[in-house]
Amino acid sequence: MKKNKVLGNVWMILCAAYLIVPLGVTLIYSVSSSWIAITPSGFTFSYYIEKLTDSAFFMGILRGIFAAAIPVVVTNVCILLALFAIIVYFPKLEKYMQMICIIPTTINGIILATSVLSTYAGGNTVFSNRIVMLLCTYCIFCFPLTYQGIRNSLYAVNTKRLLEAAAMLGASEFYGFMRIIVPTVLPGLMNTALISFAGLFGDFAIIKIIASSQFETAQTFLYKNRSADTQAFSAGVVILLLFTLLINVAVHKTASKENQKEKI
Amino acid sequence: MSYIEFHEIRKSFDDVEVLKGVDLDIKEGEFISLLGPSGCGKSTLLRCFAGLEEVSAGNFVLDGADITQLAPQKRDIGMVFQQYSLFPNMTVEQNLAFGLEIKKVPKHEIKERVRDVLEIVGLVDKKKSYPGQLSGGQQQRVALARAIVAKPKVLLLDEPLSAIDAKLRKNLQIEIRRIQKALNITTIFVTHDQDEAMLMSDRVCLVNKGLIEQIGSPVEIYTSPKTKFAASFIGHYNVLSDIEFSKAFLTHVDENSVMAIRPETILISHEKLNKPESYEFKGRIKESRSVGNVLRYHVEVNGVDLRADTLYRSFSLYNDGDEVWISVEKRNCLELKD
Repeated sequence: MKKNKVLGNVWMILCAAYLIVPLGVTLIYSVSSSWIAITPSGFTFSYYIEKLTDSAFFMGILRGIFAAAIPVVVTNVCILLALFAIIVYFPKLEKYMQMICIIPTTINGIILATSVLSTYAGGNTVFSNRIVMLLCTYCIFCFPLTYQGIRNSLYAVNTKRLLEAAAMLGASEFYGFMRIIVPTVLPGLMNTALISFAGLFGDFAIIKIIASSQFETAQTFLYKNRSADTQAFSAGVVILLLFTLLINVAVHKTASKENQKEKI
Repeated sequence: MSYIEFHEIRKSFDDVEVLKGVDLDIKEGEFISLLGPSGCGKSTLLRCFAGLEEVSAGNFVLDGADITQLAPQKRDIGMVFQQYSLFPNMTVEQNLAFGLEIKKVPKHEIKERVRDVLEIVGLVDKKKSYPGQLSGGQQQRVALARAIVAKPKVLLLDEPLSAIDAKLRKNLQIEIRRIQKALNITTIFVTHDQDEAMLMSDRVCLVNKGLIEQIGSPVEIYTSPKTKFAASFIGHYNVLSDIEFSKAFLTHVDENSVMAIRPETILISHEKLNKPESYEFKGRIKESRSVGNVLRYHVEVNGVDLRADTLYRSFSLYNDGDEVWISVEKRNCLELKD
């Protein structure tokens, strides 16, 4: 038993090292003034300052936030309202909604992006706009996770019974939903939204296929300039990594807040 | 004219008819219990009256007005649910104020009424707590307070104590009844616990298979069950067919009649008691069980198994296999409608 535990720990450390070493090396490389010999010759933050003052990179981050935030907000609002309607008025439709929500999980992101592109590109509708196309594709992409997250939160608080209690006190279903249910499930909602946001913000493949020439995010910007200055490129990677890490910390915080509430 | 009237209430879920034409009249200020086994339709009846379920047929009259087609929000009915259903994002105070805010009661009055009701249920010190920080009993008292603070015409209690431990449950039963009497609020209480119904109600309405089987005061229901179901559900009566009764007491009763005997009316003794107007026979103790403060004996009398309850007393303790005498007054053998 003890031997197994030791082996498990060793295996875990090896895996962690395998994953962390490239990141560590990238970090060291991004702060080294030059690294020609085995060890770096000195340290500098100049590449970070260069990246953070580079308006193209900065705008890329903002575009990435925009491209990730809009679909997350749209999907959350749509699914929340759809689930409200299903729980209160059409409970029999839930199985169909579940089926629809599972479909995107079976489609690979690249296939999805290529399909959307070949269907809508070249037309005259609003969907032919590459940015609209990208945002819509992202909506589909985060649909299953958002649906599952919100659904679980709504059923965990027994939405139907709470709305009935609110109705007995004179509240309409929608008022009860907005005043009681939404605030109650908000930590869960935030959690799902942040995970979706982190996933979309880190996307490179879909954006590259659909809109890389028209809509440059930090990822596509770095990819384009990857051979110009490798140390500045590493600094850019670390900045994006820290941003994603920040979102993950926020996810963890909201999740632990929710757990604490449940424990009470 | 009664304060509340149920007329021929029917309710079906798909092809299953859960309520089969329920008629019921309730007086103002009365505490009535809907008592019955799980699945008998008592909660459905309550939910239909609250407006949370639509009836298939029939109508409800409350204080002279037909409320059958009204939304739950418009019925002026307060309800306490089995799972409390307190709003988890609001404090106790906010939970209580919720209904009053919707009714646009002035703020100072809301504050006053919330404080008064919290005093009634003894939770003033918990007004800033969230439901998750309260015990089950406290949560149930908040749910009760939330239902009565809006001064509804009727209070509905849907098995509100079923999730609470036995001791606290007893206290809450007394407390709910005290509050109901103090406010003189007409109350319909749903339970499957006969002791609870007996303790709390002015009248008990026995529900079985979507119909009212019997209605009356707790004493009436207990001492004079009219049907086989009523006898077996209330008081653990010995329910005997005409053949079994004739065999046990060597007497003749009408064919197809059903007889009921309360276990506590069967006396057990070592000697024959020679009581007048009684059936007295020799029997044998088959089994004994302790049920709280009562000893329940299974006695075989002329090949028929009877249950007899006695209090714990040194002279009334018997062992399995003991030969005993049983004595039952004839007036305690009730003939039931089948």
